[in-house]
Amino acid sequence: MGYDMSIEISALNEIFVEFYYWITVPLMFLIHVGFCLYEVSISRAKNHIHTLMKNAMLVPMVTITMFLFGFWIYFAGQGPFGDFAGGSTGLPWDATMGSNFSDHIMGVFWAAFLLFSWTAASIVSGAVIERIRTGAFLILAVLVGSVTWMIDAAWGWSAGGWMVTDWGYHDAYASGVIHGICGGAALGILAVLGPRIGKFAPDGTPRDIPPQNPWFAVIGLFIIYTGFWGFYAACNVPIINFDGLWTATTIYGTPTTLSTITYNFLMSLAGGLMAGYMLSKGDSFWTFSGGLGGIIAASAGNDLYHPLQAFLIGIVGVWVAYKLHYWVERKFKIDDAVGAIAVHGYAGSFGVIICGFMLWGYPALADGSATITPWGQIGGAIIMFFVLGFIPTFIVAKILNAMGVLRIPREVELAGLDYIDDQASAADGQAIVNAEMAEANASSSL
Amino acid sequence: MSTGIESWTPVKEITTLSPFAGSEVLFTIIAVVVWIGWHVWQIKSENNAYDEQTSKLQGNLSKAISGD
Repeated sequence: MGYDMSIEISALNEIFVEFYYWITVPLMFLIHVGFCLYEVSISRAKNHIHTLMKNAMLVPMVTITMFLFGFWIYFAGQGPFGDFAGGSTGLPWDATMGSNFSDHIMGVFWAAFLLFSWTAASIVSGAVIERIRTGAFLILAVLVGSVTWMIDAAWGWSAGGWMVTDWGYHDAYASGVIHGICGGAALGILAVLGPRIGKFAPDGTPRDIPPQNPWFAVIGLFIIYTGFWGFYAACNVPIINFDGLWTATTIYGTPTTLSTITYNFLMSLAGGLMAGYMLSKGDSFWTFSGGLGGIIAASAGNDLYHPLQAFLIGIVGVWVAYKLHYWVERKFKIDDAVGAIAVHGYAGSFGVIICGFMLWGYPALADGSATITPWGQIGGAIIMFFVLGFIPTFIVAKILNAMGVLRIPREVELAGLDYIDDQASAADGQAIVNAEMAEANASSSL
Repeated sequence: MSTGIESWTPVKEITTLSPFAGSEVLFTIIAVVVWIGWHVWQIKSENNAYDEQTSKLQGNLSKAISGD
């Protein structure tokens, strides 16, 4: 019996691919760690624990709903109005959605998408801190993390999605499909939720509510950068035979190299950091947010850009985001506590649009059946930010507001979300001290 | 009695690893009820907590804001 080396190579390649994606998941977990640290640090001390718990609890709520229906939406929703007769892939009772020897990898793919979902909900979480109710936020987190982002992924982040096949939409590392939609979603909620008490002076001038702990906020952003590596890695097929060439491909099946995305990730980070520093004159919050915004602005085309193009796009994207943030804040009295709409929404949408000009005429699919164009990208940016981002959360926030469960009571907001618990803890602590003192006095009198 | 697998050999004939194979739809229904029920419980619990906090803050708001 002859020795068939191709079987071993094929098995090794499969094991490598499975391990590759598996490693991206704990790396992406760091995004959520970073978001938690960042968000808590931005909030005032009187709201720390509530802010932490709100963000932490999106993890189980988005996870269970991603298992129940979120992943199924990705497979079933490739057409503009879905293709719901398209099989059971992604449904909770499908063989691939469990412990089954007939499939070894679907759970890892699911986890990769799930970690994107946590990120999506977490982006929204930061913008609305210090005045939204946890219950309302968790409903909105499920909406963004397990429904709208999954629809946009089905439409624009899949080789079979109609935006890709019909419009040539290209968004390799999710400038629009994650960041654009989440910025729009945050804006939709904030338009209903309103600003924090005291954010705007009576004449409408915005006041700065400084981070409680700028140092930790920066560490949080550093951790998000690290997790972003895992995100970039998870967006690729690491090695595949593309027309006779062994190379990495994007989620669209179009070729790239790990070298390209490594250059471009770091160069767009550098451009964003420099722009953020310059625009804010060295403010730590905007400098580090600028780094993130730079990556996000270049992400749509970072599979193909030259590193210097990624660098320059990072700079311009952050400039656009920064200017739009303050214009929208003053004009519409939008209180985005962490600059999420700017860093994710504006930089991401800019990134989608500029990609249409930079990669104009490139094949959007491996078979060349669709082409990247500015209008395809502009249409895509509008769908991401407004149609799937802003509108759904605006409507749901309106409903929650009408039910009286969107915003915390005024008294609680003024005192701080943690005030009553802090008082109770202080009272408990004092009672323990009193008891210990009584015990000590009793012992000394013996 | 077995809830699923009784032998690991021949392993190639094994597909589903989890116990009670075939009951996935039932577990899905239970999970949906738990998920929705958790939201309902959480919102009710949070509403009650805010009602309680608001009543405790009546007359103490200035003290709470100033941190005294």
